[in-house]
Amino acid sequence: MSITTENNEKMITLMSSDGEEFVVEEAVAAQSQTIKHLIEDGCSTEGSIPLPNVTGRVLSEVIQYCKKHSSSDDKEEKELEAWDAEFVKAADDHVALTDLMMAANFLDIKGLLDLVAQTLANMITGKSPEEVRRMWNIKNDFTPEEAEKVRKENQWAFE
Amino acid sequence: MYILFKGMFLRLSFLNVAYNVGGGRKLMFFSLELCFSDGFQGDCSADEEKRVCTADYADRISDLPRNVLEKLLTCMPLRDAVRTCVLSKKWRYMWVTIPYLSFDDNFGRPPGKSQPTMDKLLLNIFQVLLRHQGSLEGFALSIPYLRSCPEIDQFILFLSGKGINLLRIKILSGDPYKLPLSLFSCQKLSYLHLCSCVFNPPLGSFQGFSRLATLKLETVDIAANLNDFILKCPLLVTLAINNCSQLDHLEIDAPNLNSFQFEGDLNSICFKNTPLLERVMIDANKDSFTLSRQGSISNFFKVFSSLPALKILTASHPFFKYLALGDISEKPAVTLNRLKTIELKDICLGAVGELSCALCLIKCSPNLQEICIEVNAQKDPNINPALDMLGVQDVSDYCLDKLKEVNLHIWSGTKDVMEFVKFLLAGSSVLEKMVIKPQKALPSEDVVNILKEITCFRRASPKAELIFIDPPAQSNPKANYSSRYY
Repeated sequence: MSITTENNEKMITLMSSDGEEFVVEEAVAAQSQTIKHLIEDGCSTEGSIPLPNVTGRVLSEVIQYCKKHSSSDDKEEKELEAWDAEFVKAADDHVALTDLMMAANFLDIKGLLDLVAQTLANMITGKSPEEVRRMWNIKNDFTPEEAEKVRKENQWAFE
Repeated sequence: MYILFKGMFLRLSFLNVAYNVGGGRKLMFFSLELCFSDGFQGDCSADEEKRVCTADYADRISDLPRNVLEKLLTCMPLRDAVRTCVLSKKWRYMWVTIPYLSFDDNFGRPPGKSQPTMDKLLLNIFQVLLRHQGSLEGFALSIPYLRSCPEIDQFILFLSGKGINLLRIKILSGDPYKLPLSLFSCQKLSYLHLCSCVFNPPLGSFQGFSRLATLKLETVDIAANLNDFILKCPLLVTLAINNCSQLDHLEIDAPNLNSFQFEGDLNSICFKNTPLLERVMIDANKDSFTLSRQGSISNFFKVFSSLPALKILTASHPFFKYLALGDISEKPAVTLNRLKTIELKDICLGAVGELSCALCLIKCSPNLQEICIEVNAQKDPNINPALDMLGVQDVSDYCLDKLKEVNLHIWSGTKDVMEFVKFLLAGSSVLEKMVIKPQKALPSEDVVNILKEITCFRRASPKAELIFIDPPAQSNPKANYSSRYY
């Protein structure tokens, strides 16, 4: 579905996995390469674009990011960096950020993917494997013998 | 965690199933997630319930596609990335395919422990390289202390066969590293950052780096003609040269260059072919540009007529003096339509040559938005000619109607500075902010006098705000003075 606003901005409707609809300017939505290609291929004319991998909560965060990054030009680099830092801070915790990273990858928004990957990487850095497992409920499926073997293979990193 | 589930738990997840139609352009994604849970909450405490909820979220991170996990691992120190191998079977070989390996300052040094010996460091690097699989796009190496080390030559030889495109070599102390010839056969290089190396490309046989976009040289001993080297890197976009030795004359022929940054000693510079250069920062040392003489054409014209795309200019005093050489009392036939920001460091507004150069620069830049000037501590004993010059300027000759912000770092409220403030306020019709910041704390009496004087100046912009910032060194930090003109 495409509507045109007073400023002649073409609008696009995005639908999240849980049925929430978001009406955004095409320029904002096109920050996502995935959506951009869908629009180019004419998928947006017959109604809203369904995004079955992204929940409404995550999608609203993604749109926030895209809005900010489509309206700024390069002279505001520093301000944009500060905004990005606040944005990931507000995204709450590592689980929410993981969802956001999944969405950024799925929607193919490089800037957002880089930002979230770096934030998550910083969270993991310096943590013990046990701590990292606890953060995401990663199941340790190694036997103690296997675990010892794997550790030995990369001994230097555990010294 | 899973023991908590007493009932039936079924989870199907088809995440990121991608159909790739038409050369990767059309992507469709399906996701189906079903959860049947039954009766597991019956005898759980509230705390356990919470844990069940997180368990439902279980391991979203391991579900991410491999390329995303590789990206995540690339963003952290190599030690932490490798340590993920024990998380679970899925993670065991995740790190071995990461495309970037960074043996940076903290590599090999366990947290809280001292730097390992060079032998141990090299052994660790070999261990990583032997286990690594697949293509290697980036490699960063930081050596804390260098004596002779033929192993680094071996690494670079190994990398040259891997089609590497990003390379950073940093020697923190000890001898500079003499780059091996194999480096110059890394034809896919797009990013090269060298720190404390001897840079000696074999210019006779060197084909050039046809893809090099970024070149950063820091404390590098440049033992070959850098100008010829740059000429052989036609796609260069970013060039940074910081405190390198053996540089005398730079001639930049780089048709795609966007950003040029220079710090250190230099005698002359010429932008020969730089149609796209937007950012120029030349922070030359104090003895730079002293040998250069002016030719028949002023340096101002020579430099700026070759920078049609200039957007941001940062210049320190020696370079600015170099620009000021020659007669520029008449407006040179050059227009810097895209110049938005000028930043001048250590400038003497009381010296006629520098003042006229600054005025000329402003005159040639009709779209200027921001001026930042750090005024020199020295006072010119012969200040009157400069004051006369400022006095006779007709603001209507200047196109200051885009200027929004002025930042002045001053030493005191000398007459030249005040006259310059007066000139800018009178000419800038859309000025939003004029920030005046003394380099050191001034007696409050002087501050009041400066402010008093400025309030009397005629200003073209009704919304200009004057902000006076006290330097932080002052023992009794006062609130910043701010006054809005109406």
